Amino acid sequence: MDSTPTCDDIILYYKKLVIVLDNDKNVYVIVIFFNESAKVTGGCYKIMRIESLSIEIFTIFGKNQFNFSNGLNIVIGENDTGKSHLLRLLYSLIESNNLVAQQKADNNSYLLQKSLPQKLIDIFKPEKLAHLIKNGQNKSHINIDFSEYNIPFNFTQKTKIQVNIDKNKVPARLIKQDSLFIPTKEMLSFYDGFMSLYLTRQLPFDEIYYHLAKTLGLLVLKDISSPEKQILKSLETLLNGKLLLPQNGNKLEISLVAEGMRKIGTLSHLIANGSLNKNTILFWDEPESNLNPKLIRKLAKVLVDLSSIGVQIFINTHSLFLIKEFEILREINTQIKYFSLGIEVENNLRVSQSEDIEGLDDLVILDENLDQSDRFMKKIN
Amino acid sequence: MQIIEGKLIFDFDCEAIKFDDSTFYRKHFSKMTNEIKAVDILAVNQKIGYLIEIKDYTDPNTKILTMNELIEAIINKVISTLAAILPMKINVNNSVGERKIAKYFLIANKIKVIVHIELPPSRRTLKQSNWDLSNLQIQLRRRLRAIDAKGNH
Repeated sequence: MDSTPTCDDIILYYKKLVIVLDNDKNVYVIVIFFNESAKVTGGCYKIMRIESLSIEIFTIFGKNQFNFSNGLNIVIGENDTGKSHLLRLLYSLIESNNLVAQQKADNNSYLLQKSLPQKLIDIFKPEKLAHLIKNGQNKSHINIDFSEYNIPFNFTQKTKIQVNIDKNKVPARLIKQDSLFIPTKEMLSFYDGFMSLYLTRQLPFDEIYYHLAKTLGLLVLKDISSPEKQILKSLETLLNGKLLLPQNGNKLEISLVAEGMRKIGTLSHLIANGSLNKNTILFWDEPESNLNPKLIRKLAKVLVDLSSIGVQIFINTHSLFLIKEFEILREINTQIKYFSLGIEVENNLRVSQSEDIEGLDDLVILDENLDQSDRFMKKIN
Repeated sequence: MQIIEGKLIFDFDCEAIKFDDSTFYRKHFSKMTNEIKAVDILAVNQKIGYLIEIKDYTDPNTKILTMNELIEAIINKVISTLAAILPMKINVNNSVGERKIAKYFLIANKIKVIVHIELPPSRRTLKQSNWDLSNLQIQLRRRLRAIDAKGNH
């Protein structure tokens, strides 16, 4: 073959057999040994990870930089310090990227200019985009650094449907990166009717819920690869059996009625239907909510296991118990990074980031635990 | 070397002194202000300087501090002890042992703070669960990381 085929030249695949067209329309049949982790969906599949994010003048953020781990990223802070905003922003940016990547068009920068504000509005639900700019200031700058490329953009008070992007900085080809966002509210019990309701009615739910409902609606795979299968088995042990969703006449098992178990069930079903696999980026807002300490312990193990097979994970938490479980499970090659968000006197957000929990400047959940211990001791003595 | 602290006996196979009982500390250094307190034991082993504080809560005479009081007390003792080591090396003339350990401590390339806590036998009560030593450990590691550092700053 004179010319090397590009990823886009791949038009058909069957196991290890690939038919390729080169630029002169010659047909070649090639045997390709795919890496086990590669997922071929009619084109080239690359896995991206989020390496860093810089934010200026966005919601509560002043000027902050986050450098993420490829493993488990844990965001800690009091209420109203922007923890959920951080996860939602990252998810909005990936979803905008995916929306454009799927179109495989030549005008990526133009498409991003429109998809970014659309996703920010769908996910943050402000009345208008300018409301996302901090304290009525004029301009917000954001730059997300994926492992393959970065997307820098800004928007102003006057921005309505298009953000500003430097065309020279947008790559010619964007890569679709699978991601999942699990919000705090459990959805397993109502996702079935939710999709049609979301599309036809005004609901106080953002697009994250719609995305999750769509994903939960996918049927389970006949077979899943081995590392995910192990994790699925451990979840099914917790659930005392396989999860049967109310599809094809099946009914939800009674043991799943408890809210905490439904969260475990959600995770189990997302792995079983292939939506959560080693290539995914997972966002989970307060995974510990509604779980008793016994289940939090199991959940920590599942999250560490997922990160060890390659899933990049972002969670928010208020649970010192969960953090200590991560530290108990930590091994030399476990990639964990903590981000602590705190408000300074002049309403500026202070971000401290560290691979060790002891390296954080703010750790309010520990301070509160110690204060409670003091108050308790004074009361009983 | 054996050091006795209340009802507890500690064996060291390196240089160690009962610091808060040292002549220099008791007769001179601690006299400067009332706020000065010191850790119980100072030890040096293979160029690591150890500041060791011992709390024996099995002893009914031990004053019960709250978690935050204990954390503040330990931090204060660590700082005061470190401040005493250089003058101990320079100014002590009548105790070879005190001068020697101060000299060894000053050429150490790492400092470790050790807190040894003896608790009564474990009972799963709400009162005992209040003594969460992992919380104490995390907070002390955070607060003392300028002294007992995992890496270079």
